[in-house]
Amino acid sequence: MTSTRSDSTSQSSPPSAPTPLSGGPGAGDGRAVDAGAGGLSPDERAAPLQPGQTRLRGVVSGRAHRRGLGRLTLRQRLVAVGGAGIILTLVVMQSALSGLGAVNHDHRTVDRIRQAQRLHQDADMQHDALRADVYNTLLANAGLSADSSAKAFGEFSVHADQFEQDLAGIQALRLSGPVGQELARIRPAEENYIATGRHVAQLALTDRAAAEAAIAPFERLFDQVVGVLATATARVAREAHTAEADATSEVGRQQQRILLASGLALAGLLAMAAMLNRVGKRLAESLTEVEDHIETVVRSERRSREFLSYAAHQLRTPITSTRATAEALLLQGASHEQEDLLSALVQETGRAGRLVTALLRMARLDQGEIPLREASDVRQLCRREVERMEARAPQLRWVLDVDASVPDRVALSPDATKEALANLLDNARRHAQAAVRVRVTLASSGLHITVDDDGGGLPEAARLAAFDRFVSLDGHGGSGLGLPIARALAESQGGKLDYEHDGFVMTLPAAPSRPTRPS
Amino acid sequence: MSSPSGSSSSPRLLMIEDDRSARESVSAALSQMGYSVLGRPTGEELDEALVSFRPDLAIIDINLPSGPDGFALARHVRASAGIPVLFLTAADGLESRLSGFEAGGDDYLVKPFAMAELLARIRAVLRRSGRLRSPVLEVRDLVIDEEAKTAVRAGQTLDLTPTEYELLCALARSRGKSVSKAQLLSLVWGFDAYDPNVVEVHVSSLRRKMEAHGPRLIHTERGRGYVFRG
Repeated sequence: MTSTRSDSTSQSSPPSAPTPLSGGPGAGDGRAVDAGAGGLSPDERAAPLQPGQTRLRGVVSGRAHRRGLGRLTLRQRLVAVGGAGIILTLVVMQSALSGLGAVNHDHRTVDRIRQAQRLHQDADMQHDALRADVYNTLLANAGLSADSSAKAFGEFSVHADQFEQDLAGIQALRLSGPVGQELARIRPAEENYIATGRHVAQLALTDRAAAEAAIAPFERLFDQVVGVLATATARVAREAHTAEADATSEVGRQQQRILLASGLALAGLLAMAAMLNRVGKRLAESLTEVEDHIETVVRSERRSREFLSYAAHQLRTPITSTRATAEALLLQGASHEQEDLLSALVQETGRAGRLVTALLRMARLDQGEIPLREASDVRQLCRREVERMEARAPQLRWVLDVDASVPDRVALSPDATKEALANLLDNARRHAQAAVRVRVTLASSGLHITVDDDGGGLPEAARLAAFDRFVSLDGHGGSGLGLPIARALAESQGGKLDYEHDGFVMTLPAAPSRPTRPS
Repeated sequence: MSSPSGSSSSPRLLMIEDDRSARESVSAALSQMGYSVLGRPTGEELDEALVSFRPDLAIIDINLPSGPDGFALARHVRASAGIPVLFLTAADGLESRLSGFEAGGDDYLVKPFAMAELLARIRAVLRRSGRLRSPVLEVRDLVIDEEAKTAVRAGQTLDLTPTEYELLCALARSRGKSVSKAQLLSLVWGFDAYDPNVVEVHVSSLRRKMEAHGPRLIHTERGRGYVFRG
């Protein structure tokens, strides 16, 4: 047996194929991988090992890649470039924002200059009006006007007030530029002109002769202020134009700055993208690390499985003794009370025994044990299992339908199939209300063995969990290993086990076994 | 509780098992079933035991901590005494099973096991090797052929399910003695079924099939169980 096994092992491994778990230095010791594979043909061994081999090859190449790069510097570089990119972008954005603020400020200044200009023009108009009012007052007093002198003086006061308001408005604008300076410069002359005008107008109201005498210097002052005002008007207009042009060009400048900022931000983003590309590579390396870690976990899981297997193994003999003792006492004949206690003891040791067997079964399946396939009578196999279960639960109605299309003999592992079916039937027995139905059909996908019961069925959410280990969904006394074992048994034969619609469907490859001779 | 074959001299079983409590408890249960059992912890003085005890069957644990292992002992037992060997093992890997048969094991049983299972294997191996003195049980007009696994009453073969057949054998082997439901659960079902109603259901269908051809043989003993009286 031993020689057969080593032969098959060497044949099934092509020279170029990586040896599982020995691809990298210190990558495991290769124990336990080949366990349970004894007595199997090369074909049977080769296929299921392939996924594992592929994964391990990936781990090995990923490792070499990581060594060539020096991951710590890369991380630092990433932080530096990423950080610098972010800071640069922030600075540029900040400057663009402040530029926008300046544009805004310039616009406000231009507005104030325009306002001052308007006020100055109004003052200019009041300047002319005051002169007319002074003359009107004088003419009214001389009886040469239809209006009374008091009314004419009232007009003068209105215009003088307006003039003063214009000047106060200009002052309130607090212009600091050339416009503000120019208007401040002419202000004393204007105030002097208003005060003098008011003096002459009051004289015209009371003392005609004094007023006529004061009119000549007033006239001179008027001419003088006309010049001042004209100069100021021209200058203000020029400055206003300049300020407006400045503001416009500032907008252009800021537009350029924003464009530049956007460009820089874009460049930063591109740099970040490039870094992300590096990060992607780094991630791939991390993934390799994770894979390594998983490998470590797998190894430690294997250790705990080995422990589980050892513990289960060690429990077998004591469970045997306990059970045999209880059964010996029971068979000896006991009182009712003793019989009840002994029955409970036998049942519990039976439960412990089944759990131990299931644990070891699972451990062996995990090691990749592949059952031997042989031409098997599926009908008889299913009938026997159903009958066996019927004997245990005669209160349920057990129905077996084997479709006529199912061949008499199918190449499968009778032991594995029987065990998987028994687990499915036991599961159905624990959930059925009154009946369990087993259907055997042949489809293009293979041989289907469907087990369903008239219990509640498996809720949608529980369909995945049902195949998890140690998950007993119902509190009906399952070990939580029956379904995972059944699935592993189906998979070990190249089949599968799923919950579909309302029942468990085991699909097995259904190549009809070749007849040894034509009949 | 009964004689395994119905004959006067009970079959002798040599049991080699290093674990003392396993050896003693299994021996006790087998004695209870009417076998003569000699238990030994190792293969020491095996030849002496084979000569003086003259066993019909050797039950050997494969993993013995000292001395030759179970396979070596089995080869020796077969070669020198020519008796069948039943292996007990705590290792149920495929390889050790196959090695067991190569070493001349006639059957194997993985621990832990139900007593019903051990009894069935022992009977099967003894029957195959022709050491079950009378494979046919006859009670009145009922003939149970353990070789052919058939039951015939008044010349009519009874159409029994495997469980009904086992139930009938268990009751017939203990004829004249009352057998409780718990004992039947142990002997027929190996306590794989917990519900005592299972026993009632099967007894009732077995009775129906048997009583179609003759008077009642399986009687109810109130509060005690069933008794086979012929």
